[in-house]
Amino acid sequence: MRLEEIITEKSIDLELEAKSKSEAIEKLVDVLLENERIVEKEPFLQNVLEREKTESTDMGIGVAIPHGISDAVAQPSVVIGRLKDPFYWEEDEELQEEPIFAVFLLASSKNIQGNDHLEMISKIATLLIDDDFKHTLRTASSKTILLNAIQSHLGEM
Amino acid sequence: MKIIAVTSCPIGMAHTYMSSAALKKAAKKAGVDIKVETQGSMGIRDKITKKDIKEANVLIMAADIALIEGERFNNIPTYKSTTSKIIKNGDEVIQKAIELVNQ
Repeated sequence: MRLEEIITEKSIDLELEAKSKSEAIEKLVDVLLENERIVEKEPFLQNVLEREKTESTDMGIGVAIPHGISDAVAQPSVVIGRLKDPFYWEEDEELQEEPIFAVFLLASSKNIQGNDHLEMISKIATLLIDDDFKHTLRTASSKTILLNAIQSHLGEM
Repeated sequence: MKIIAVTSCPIGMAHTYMSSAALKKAAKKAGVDIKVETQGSMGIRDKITKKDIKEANVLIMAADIALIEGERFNNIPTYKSTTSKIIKNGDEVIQKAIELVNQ
């Protein structure tokens, strides 16, 4: 499977403007809709928000990874939003980790055959464990630089 | 020192695999062997065998949901954690597991 089946430059916003978890998630879901990666907004959005309720997807490493599996997903995807202004993912101070500087929204559907797409999506999420990749995510001056970094790190896994 | 670990989470897209990567990174840093079984959306990967259990000193269990065939691990010293804690601080989890062996 090629990386561009899961993520393209259109799926990246390096200056996402959001002040809360719900605003960030909704804006990234809109990106999926605009790119026809989901066929309908609400069912997927609700699915992601439900998952968020069971456990925060603030990974405690400056990045949140909201995710959902829904029939509304036409093409499994990763959408990346790097926040213009980092904020705390959780409003509850007791749950606050470090401020979030980037959000990776993962989208999949049970209707897609095979595991290739899940494999690639989970590998992209796993890149965030790598400090070098996280540095590139923080500093990349263009979408191309970020996509190339994803491609090269995936090649090393 | 050989550590075995098993990770799982409700959706099985992010936490399961990220915590697996975090454990491997921390184990490498600590200089210990590790094998991590993931139970996620792709089913069971890198399944822990009877031989692995026999050879291992300790199990790190990060089961955010009930494990498949969890009874395999009934007779091995176990350090319980969560996928989130491991992602945040894999080094500490590995150290705690090592301490459990050295007690």
